[in-house]
Amino acid sequence: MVVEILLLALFALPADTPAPPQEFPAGYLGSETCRLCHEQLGGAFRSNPHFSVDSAAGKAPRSQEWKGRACEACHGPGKTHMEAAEAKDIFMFGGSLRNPVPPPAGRINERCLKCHAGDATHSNRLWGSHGRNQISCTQCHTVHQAVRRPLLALEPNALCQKCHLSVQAEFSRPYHHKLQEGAMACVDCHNPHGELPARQLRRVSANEVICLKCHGDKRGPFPFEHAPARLGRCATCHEPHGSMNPRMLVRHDLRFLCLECHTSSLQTIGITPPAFHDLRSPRFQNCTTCHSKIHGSFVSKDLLR
Amino acid sequence: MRTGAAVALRVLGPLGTHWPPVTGHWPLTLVALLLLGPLGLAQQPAEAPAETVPPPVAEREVHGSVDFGYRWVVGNGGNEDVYRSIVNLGDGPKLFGAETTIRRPGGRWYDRLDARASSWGGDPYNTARLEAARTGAYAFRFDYRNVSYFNSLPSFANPFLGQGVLFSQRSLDTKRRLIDTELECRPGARLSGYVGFYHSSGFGRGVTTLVTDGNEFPVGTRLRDATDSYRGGLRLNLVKWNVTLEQGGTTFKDDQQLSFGGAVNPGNRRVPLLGQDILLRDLAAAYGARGDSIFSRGVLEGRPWSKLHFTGHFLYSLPSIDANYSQRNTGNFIWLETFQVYTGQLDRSLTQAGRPHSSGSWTTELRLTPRVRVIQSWFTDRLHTAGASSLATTLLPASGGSLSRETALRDRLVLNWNQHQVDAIAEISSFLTLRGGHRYEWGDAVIRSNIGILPAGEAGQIRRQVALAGGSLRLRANAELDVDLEASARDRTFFRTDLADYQRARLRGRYRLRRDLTFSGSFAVLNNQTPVREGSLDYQSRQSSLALLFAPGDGKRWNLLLDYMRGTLRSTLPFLAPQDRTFEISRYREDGHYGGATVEIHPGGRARVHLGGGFGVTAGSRPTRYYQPYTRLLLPLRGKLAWMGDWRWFGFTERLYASEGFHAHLFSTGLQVGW
Repeated sequence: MVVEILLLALFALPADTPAPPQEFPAGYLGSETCRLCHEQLGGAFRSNPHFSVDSAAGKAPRSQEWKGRACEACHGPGKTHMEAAEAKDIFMFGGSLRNPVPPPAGRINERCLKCHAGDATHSNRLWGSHGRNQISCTQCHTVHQAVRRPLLALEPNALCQKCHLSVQAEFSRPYHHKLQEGAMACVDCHNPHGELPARQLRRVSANEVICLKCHGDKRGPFPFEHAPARLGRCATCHEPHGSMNPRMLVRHDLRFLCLECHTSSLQTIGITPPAFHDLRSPRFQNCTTCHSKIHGSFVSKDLLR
Repeated sequence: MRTGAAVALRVLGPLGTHWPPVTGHWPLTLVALLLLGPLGLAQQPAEAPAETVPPPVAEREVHGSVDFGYRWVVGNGGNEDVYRSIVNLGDGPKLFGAETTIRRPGGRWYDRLDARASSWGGDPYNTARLEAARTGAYAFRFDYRNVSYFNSLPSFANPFLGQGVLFSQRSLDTKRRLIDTELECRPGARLSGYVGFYHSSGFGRGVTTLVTDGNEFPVGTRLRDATDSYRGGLRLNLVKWNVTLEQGGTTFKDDQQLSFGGAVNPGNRRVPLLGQDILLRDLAAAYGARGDSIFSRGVLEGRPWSKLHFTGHFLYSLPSIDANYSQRNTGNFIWLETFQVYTGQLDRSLTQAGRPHSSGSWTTELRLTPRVRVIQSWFTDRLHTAGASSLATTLLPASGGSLSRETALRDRLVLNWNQHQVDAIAEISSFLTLRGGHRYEWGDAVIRSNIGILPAGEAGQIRRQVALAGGSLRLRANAELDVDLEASARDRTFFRTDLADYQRARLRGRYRLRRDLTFSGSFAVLNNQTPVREGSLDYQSRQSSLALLFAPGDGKRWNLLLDYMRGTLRSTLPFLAPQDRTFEISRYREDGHYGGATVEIHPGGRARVHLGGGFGVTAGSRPTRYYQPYTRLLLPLRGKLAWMGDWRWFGFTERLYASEGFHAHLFSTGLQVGW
């Protein structure tokens, strides 16, 4: 009901009225002038989300500032470029025909972030490995040739797998998250723009690991926790992309997986030695046959029920 | 959209079920993307050839397609349970996929609407997504997924596999439904707000075990849990400052049940214990867990001057849960603490747990010169789970009467984890960027307070110093190379299996030899030698990947995508064998070859043929072969109507567990209707 009311309220908002023509600062020409030469780009741009900058339909703080000159908001002032008809006089995100080397990622990102730095999805940008590794915004996004929202150059998974070849291969293992099947996407778990540590994994409910978004029954809190599950270390036991082992485990035999940690050690968690179990008997070779509440238990300190 | 779907299908292999529509200008834009994709669109000159630019659109644009048809699963041989655990595609009428896009610039209710659905009609992964927006007014997103999860592998949790019994005692046949929706009002405006709702529910049945002293019994279980999460927030967007405040809440319930009756369950112990056969005759057990949580999130971003950017986060959640558990079982059991034989047991448990969890971060980017920037980041994560449980147990001894006992337990888990990292990034030239840095992780964790053999509990510490380096090389538009290096000296870690004394290197490169031929490859190696008391954790993994894209003649007639990955993993770690308290070695080896190939042929008109498949072959601790070849056809019939058909084959074999192999042919045919 609340959502419906909000929707109704929103739909009732009046359409934006066109603003009178404005004069541009020195060096700027305005998008209409750009379209004189770049006719097709300019035509297609009308269906582009960035056109809201040109038309000032958007609400972003800087959109009014760039009203009528959206092209130059990204490519820089165009007067010199128009007069000399030289690519070097304008900022070319992909480089020019004569010099096809694109500018360094930092320069490209700087242009985009001039407006997008405050986007909610970028709030962890400085944590992101893409930014640190010189992956520019235009490696994934394209303003003029997008095939998928939000201005993506390819389907989201295909974009990721373009670089992360070995991760793509991990999904060919028999026990895998159903990415190929279309049940999920890389960006369901990872925020490509950056996320708090680690591995650019998103969070749910403010600060819980993203795995719990789907695996809610593992959330707890449990009176009797299993430390790796609670310390956000699902990958201690599981291969999140895909594994050759059942349950996407990192070991083929469960007893080894458990006992590698549960061995007397004075310096790490897992100091509690295992009870007397004869591992030579098949009864005791799969620990979770009995310790079924391995992610945490409401009843049993030994995670038995 | 169409070209993207095609590329995704090529990259992802055989399981894409929704063909890109046959209408439109897809071949040329597809070729452009295929050629540009591996090197990133950044390499494409801005003044691109005219044909790659979409034509101007009309004021109102509506397009989409729907794929529907029928699938047959034939020749299914081998283990049906394993087939369902890994593939789980069934036969019957299907809605393979549908999508529509509507653009209505200046529309009163929306100016953009996208709807997509895939895999409906009994398939295990149904999805639906709706996005609608009106520029400057609102943005709405609705995402629905219905995922079937079947898992019953005979080699997993099966003490009797050696005797030919193919019955896993940890099986699941469940569904999980997920709804995620968000409405943002006035996105990007100086002051915007949003509300979101998330629902996740799981239900189904399975097999689990009831554990008693001396025996464990496989029993049926019914699972039912649900989580609902609500959140709302405000964003203040100024030119140099952004503030986000979010408040949310979550409710959770879990009502698992266990049951058995009408027979005698001998359990996994097949020999008497102290002269007694330990048997289960009847069981009814139920969990009733109810929990809730509040959570808050605050984000402050600032760019007070062009050379400085900082971000701070504060995240807090306080989940708590109350649970009760009841169990009634009859049979013949032994209580080993007193060696007492009993025939009935009544348990009732009440528990409570809470977990305040706070996290915070502060990150600063300082641009010292136009070419040099320094990023410093700090993160802290603190949580404290405190739980209490009371358990009342009543035993009915075989000798008569009753025996009652009440147990009260408390437990806790405390984590304090911090990370600080500094990176310096220098753009040496337009084609070379170098990076160096240092990361320090520190913290401690305590578990188990008053239970177990150690009253003080278990404690672990993490102290990890990591040196970081890297670089990016861009040589003209046809070659690029990225390098990442990381090394850590010996330090303390929370877990015995954590990497402590390691070196890691990653190389990633792309080279476009010709306009129609692109290579990309990556190499990663991780080497760890952490000394432990009884030896060392010897861990090494290598991954080498190579991909090739060949699109002669701009791919107008055909194109080829090949990818291959060789991955090896070697892990050796001593562990304490519980039966005799001696140290044995846990060895895990994996030597895998993974690959895929796709040939896309355009025989003429708008017809398309895809041939290809993927494979994974591993040797080592669990030798496995998994093949997935496929063929797909799309033949336009008339206008926006097309016929489609595909064949897939799944073949799975395991050398150590021959009973888990399966193979299956899948045929499907159907129509695509576009608009």
